[in-house]
Amino acid sequence: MSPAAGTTLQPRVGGQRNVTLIDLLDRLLQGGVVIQGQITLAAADIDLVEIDLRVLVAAVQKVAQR
Amino acid sequence: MTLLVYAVTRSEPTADVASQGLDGRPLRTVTAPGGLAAIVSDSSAPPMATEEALLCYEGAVEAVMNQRAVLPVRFGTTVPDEATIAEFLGQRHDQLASALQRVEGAVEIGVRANWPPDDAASRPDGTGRGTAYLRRRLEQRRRAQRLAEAIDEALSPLARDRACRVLPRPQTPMWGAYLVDRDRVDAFTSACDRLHDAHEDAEIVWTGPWPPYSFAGGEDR
Repeated sequence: MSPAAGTTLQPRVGGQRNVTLIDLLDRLLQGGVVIQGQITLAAADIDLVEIDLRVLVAAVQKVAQR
Repeated sequence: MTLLVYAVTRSEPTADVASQGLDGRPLRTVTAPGGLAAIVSDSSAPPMATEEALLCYEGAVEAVMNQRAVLPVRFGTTVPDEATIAEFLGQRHDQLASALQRVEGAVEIGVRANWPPDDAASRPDGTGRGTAYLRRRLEQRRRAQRLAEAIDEALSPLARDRACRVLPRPQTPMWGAYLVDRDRVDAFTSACDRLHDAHEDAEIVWTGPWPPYSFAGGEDR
């Protein structure tokens, strides 16, 4: 796969989209530059089919506690 | 009206990003003295962490990444105005500039090992008394540690940097993020595929290339 993949997220692991979405959550909600005190999220309303709910809830709570 | 912040980059003349932000709002660049810039869009409310919003955010950061070195900002970061983000870029200039230098020309590849759901040995079931349960937990952790070491031994020579966790979740013996030079991505992912083929007791998958979320400054990872 070319490193310069398109600007939309393609299924990257043999069509196992849940794998990609978990990794997406891991990164967007727990990685990245943190600007202290500035993170606010509205209530999550995500399609949780095939996703480990505990991971998301833990991540969102972690963000909300900041 | 607040600003949603997507990424930190160097300010460069070719700053227009051909991608949209959340809610279809255009991305724009806020530059700060010292040569750093932030990619932002207007935002009327804190973002919802919906799948659509997360994918849109990721797409915006990837569009920037395809043009220049980028540090993704954690999803959901809003600031009241341009002066606030410019002040942040000024205060953290040295740290952010060196992080940009570290990720220049590289992408993040995610590597994860999964034990299959029917792998009883990987699942301490909570039954049994004290020592037997603890012994199973200990054996599970040792098994995860061995697998993580085998994976890292094969992959770290192909990467610039990495951040790995052992057994972050019960069915996940290893979670890793590797910072890989763009021209070594194919070699790296081929090595991942070989690891997957070589381990029958675990599924080893890679995802990416990602913007360097796990190498953006090292906060609490």
